[in-house]
Amino acid sequence: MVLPEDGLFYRPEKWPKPLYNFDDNPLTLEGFNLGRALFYDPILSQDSTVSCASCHLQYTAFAHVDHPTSHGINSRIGKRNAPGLMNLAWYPTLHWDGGVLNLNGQAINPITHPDEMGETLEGVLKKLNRNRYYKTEFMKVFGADPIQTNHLLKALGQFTVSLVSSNSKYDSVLRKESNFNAQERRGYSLFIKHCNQCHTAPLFTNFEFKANGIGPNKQIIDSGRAMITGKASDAYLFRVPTLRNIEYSFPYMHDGRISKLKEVLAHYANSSNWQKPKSRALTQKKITLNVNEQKDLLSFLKTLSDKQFLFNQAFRFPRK
Amino acid sequence: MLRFFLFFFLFPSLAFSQMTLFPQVGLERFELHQLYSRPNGDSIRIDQFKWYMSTVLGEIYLVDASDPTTYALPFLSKEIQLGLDSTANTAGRFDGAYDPLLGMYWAWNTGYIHLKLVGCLVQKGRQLPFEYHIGGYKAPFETFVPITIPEGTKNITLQLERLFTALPITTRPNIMLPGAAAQQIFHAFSTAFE
Repeated sequence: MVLPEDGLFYRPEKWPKPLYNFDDNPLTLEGFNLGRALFYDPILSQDSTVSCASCHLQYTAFAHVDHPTSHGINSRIGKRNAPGLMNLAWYPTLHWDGGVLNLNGQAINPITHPDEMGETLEGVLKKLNRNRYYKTEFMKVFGADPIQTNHLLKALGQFTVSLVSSNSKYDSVLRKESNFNAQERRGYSLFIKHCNQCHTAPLFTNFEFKANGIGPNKQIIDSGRAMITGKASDAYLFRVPTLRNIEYSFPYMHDGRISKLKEVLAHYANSSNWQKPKSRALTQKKITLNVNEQKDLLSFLKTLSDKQFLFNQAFRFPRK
Repeated sequence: MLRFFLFFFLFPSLAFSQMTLFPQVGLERFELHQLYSRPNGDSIRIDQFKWYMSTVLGEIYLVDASDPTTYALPFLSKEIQLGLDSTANTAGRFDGAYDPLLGMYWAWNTGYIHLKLVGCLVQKGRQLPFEYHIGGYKAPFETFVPITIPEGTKNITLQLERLFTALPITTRPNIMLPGAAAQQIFHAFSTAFE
């Protein structure tokens, strides 16, 4: 499939309607490029050391490889794993706990969190309004002078909403452009049987919040979804993450506690390992997958890697 | 500008209502950073006091006691509400009165603080600081109340005595989340409008 060369958002064939409000923030190439410049610019952090890309690297599907939880200014460490960024236009809520209801507003969190960029919105806007490049670009894109909160958030939104990954081998098999090999085919059957209920195609998540049997983190107190809803029954529930590009977005789980994908499969492969709390999807299930079946599943999961996305030049560090 | 005039052409009954809020404590005019004595001998001081008002037309407005010019309500509609409805809370726009710079936005749990009240209770020489970030738009803990304004009213007295009485400062000096306790404070605030 031929991608739009400019990197701008597209809706893949047969995918559901995106939820992002494009009418409120019409995409332009200039706006996308401005958002990309901001995404890669440490100007957003308090001491200009950390950018969005510090924890969201393109080659790992915009996740933070090798870091169980996110890193911030002054070597501070956050509580959760920086998730991969892709197909955000379809997300009804964001964050591991679903507390954020729109993509544009999400960026306020990392910018202002003391363990991430530790900056204030006032501080960022002051810096941007003193910067000649940003003054010019924000004027071009939004007619903005001075640059205000909504302009900053819309610009970042133009870039992040455009991070669409839909060209994995799996997708090309669906489009009848290629075929699974025997092992991938066996893995796909296992996937449909055991995983698809929560990791539902085409986005490979149903966007729900679940307890997957890994048990609460013993060092980091984090009750997950319950922090948002205030409901005790939501304690230790976290968003079902997408499996697209899962091969590259290690480490795994909301707290990054599992470093290898085969270890994740080993966790799911034996239901007697599962700890409380467990969501119903798990309590109703008994699984035992032998080593060969786990290998089959792994080879299917690798068909969800999208090299065109991971190496798309339009998403790269911009050269001004 | 054209749209502005067109609006009056289409809705001739609507005009700037020119209503002004007059917050007071008992018979005294309310001001930030002033001590007001309570019936039980304690005193209360308010250092930050901001709240959202809105109308059925979808207008939203932030009143901020640190800028008394904001007491003049610029509403077109007379059907006024205290707080913001769920549409305003989840609009995902960040301009004007929606700007998170105003210090009323919950970024990690999308929604707005409808009433921010920060101050100190002075009790037998002890200072008890308190901080209330009151909001919520999901049932059953919405903080959103229609305010009935009699026809022809230009000046609205805000009797803050009713709000102060309802503050659980000694038992819960900090409330930062939606819930029953937040809602109770908000409702007490709504009864302050006369």
